[in-house]
Amino acid sequence: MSAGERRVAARRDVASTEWFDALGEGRVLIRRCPSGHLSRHDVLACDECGATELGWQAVEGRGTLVAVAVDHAGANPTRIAVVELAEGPWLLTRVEGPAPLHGAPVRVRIFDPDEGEPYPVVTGED
Amino acid sequence: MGVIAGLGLTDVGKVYGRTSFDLAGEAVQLAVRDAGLAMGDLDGLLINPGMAQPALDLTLARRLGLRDLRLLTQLTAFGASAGIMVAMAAQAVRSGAADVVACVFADTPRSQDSSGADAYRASSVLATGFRSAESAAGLLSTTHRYALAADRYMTTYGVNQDQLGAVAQSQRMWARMNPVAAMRDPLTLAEYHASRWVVEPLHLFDCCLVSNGAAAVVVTTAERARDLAQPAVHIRGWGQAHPAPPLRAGSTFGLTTGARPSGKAALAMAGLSPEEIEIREIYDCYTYTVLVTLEDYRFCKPGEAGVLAESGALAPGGALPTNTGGGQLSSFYLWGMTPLHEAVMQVRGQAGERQVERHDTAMVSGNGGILEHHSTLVLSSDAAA
Repeated sequence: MSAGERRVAARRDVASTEWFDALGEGRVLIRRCPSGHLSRHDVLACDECGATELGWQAVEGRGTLVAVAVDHAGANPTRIAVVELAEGPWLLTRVEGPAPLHGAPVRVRIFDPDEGEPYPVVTGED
Repeated sequence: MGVIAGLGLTDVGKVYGRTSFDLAGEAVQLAVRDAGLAMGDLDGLLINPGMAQPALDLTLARRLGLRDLRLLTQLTAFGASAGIMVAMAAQAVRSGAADVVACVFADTPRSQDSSGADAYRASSVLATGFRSAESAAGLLSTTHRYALAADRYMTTYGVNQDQLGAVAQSQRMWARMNPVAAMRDPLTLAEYHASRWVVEPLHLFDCCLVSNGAAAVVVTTAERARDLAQPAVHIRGWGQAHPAPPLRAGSTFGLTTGARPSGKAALAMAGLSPEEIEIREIYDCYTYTVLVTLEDYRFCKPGEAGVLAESGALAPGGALPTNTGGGQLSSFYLWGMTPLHEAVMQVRGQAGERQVERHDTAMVSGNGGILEHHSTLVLSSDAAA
């Protein structure tokens, strides 16, 4: 763990129950509308067509780095990033391990902390 | 169109022992007195609370002894609020819904024990559900999200850290001539680079101050303003935009903002082009925000604002005077009231040592959320043609 004492816990609520359940089972979910458009996990309507009957789809687990920023507050720097999933939606999360460059491919992993719910992070492709 | 006839600003910065209600009340009284009006002349009050709890609310009217108001509401669009309040007040006086409307913002996020930045981390740290997964991963504040936006902008256009530093330096040069500015020491580029990272690529001197205080304006009709105490500042145009680009492939996140449509709408209403704007008061929660907003307002092409800042164009004596009071970076941070206050001072010709020679037209921006909410005002010493 890199951010040390400033880390806060992920907490589920009613709307995020299925998403956190899936993370517990090893899957990262995004939203899929009846027409097959894919949106981020937290939308209430399809980004493409506005449909509100949204199902879930598990991501393949690959993406690329769109933007990176570094929090130097802890003992070790924490790299945060905008990740474009291969499916299109963006994931805002932490980069674990050595930092790949902008545009570099990354792998989505699930981080299971001691406290709170599991959540997705990314690592460079090895 | 309406006119800004009164302006009030309390002590700002490290102001302790006073509540938002107390400060807001004083700002309204100052603005009314500045206009040459009496409190009993007010028949409208718009209130924008900041982050501090207990939040400023409608009971301010009763505390101020305001009776029989015809317009009273509390609103927020975060950093876009000031421009939206002034536009609502202008519409109210034009329609006759009210004749004299005060718009006020107050906040007290600082305490003697805290710089106030905690107030801007609370929504991340206390989040539950989907957002809490982002907080847990390390996106712990508003600044973390702006740092990602700034990184995307900088890598896309090749804007460098020296150019962000040039914004901080330009504004510090203005602040040195502003008696109410908090940061009045010279700032070298080396000092900028040596300031600690808040979240890289944002240094401490890329980030706005956190201030306690309040500011208010009084809006009325041009007819009524004619007999009042101050030179009229005409509200020539306004716009707001809330683009919310989806966060997915093809997103413009970080590269362009709602300043583009809101600026275009405000200029069109005013019948002016960017070339006719003499003063820019840009919402500068971060140095980066100034650059992207100047581009969105068409003062230069996308990706070119960094070069513009480095050329000295934004600084005193430059071709495009910008954030002429030092802005939120070096003067004080009262959300959109910071750029609005300075624009009114400049258009009136009351900015003292820092007065810009040509000051008939000003553009004022507001930016709220993570580049999600935007307002623009076009102000002028001339009534609409």
